[in-house]
Amino acid sequence: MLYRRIARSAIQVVVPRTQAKAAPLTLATGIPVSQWSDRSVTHNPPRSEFNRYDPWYHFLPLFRDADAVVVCAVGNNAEPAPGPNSDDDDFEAPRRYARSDRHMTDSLIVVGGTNRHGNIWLEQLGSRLVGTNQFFRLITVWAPGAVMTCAQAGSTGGVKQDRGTSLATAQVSALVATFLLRPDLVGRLQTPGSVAVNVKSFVVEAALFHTGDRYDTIKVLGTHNYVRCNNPTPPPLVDPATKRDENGVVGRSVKLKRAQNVPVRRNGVLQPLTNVSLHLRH
Amino acid sequence: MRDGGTHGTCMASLIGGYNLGVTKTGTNMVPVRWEDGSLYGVKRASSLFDSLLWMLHDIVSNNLGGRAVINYSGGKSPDSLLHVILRPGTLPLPSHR
Repeated sequence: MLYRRIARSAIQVVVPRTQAKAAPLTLATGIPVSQWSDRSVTHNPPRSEFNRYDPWYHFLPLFRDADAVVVCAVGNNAEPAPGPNSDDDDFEAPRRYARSDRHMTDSLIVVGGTNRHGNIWLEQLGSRLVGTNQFFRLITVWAPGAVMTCAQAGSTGGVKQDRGTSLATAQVSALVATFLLRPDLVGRLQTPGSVAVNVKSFVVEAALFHTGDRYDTIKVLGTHNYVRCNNPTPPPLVDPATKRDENGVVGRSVKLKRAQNVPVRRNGVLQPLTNVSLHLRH
Repeated sequence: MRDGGTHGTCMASLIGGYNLGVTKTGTNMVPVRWEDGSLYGVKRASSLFDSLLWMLHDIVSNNLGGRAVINYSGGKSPDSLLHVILRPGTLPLPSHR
């Protein structure tokens, strides 16, 4: 409850003030002294203590209450493939909170990766194929995650091919954004206080295929209408030197413009942040 | 803001890149970075807290409820966060962004 208390009080205090100007926020945490001196607790906290110190645990319900949709990756650690009943989801945040017995199961969207043919993404590890999606019980929806073309940071305007459930997650996030913009879905999704829950259920409904009960029978939980799930041909590469703007990247970062009217806190606390927004080319 | 690594840029291009992005109309992206708060190479929970609080603040203060999507293409282990927060003799420092 530590962060939840802090966050709630911070929102109550900071938000009204920062409507006009930036407001400082002092954060003082009350960690028992005994824990600072007990190395066994310090370095090997019991599993039951993890949530208390994980900011995601406390913020996810606040995002849900604020009608923000959170989409996260299931991870691709490429460990020997766990079965659908694996308990390995205990240590990673925030995806672990989507498990059926945890508090964000109704609204947190967890994304797994498929290959470009829409099948479960497997990779060769030694002499056998292993699943790269780690925690099958957590996955809400699947999207392409292997051999995707994306911007190449570090080169001016270049692109590269990458893989991972991260890439699948980015596509589903964008897909959810388009759902939220569609006028025909307003009645279905835009219920104050329930947007995240509505979106999660709608995403599952909108997916074209459903998983089987066993992870090795997964066909696709796909988003074919919106992303290049079934297209075996990657989009043509754009010459980075002459058409870099068309890739939406400049140098090591995307084209950014500082957002207007975003409160910025000074004196070392939370400031320039990241208060920038990307204005897309349409 | 510059991408401290490469992953964020890659994700941004997939979300809203001109050629590669899924969504192309009416969507703005707000990159939020939190790993700058690492201390001796280890991520701190306070840095994550800062970023999450900023996002929540941004959503609430700009009335973005029902229009905001938070993309988290990664996973961090809380025990590694604890490692720094509770390490005896370590004073959590403000992050520098």
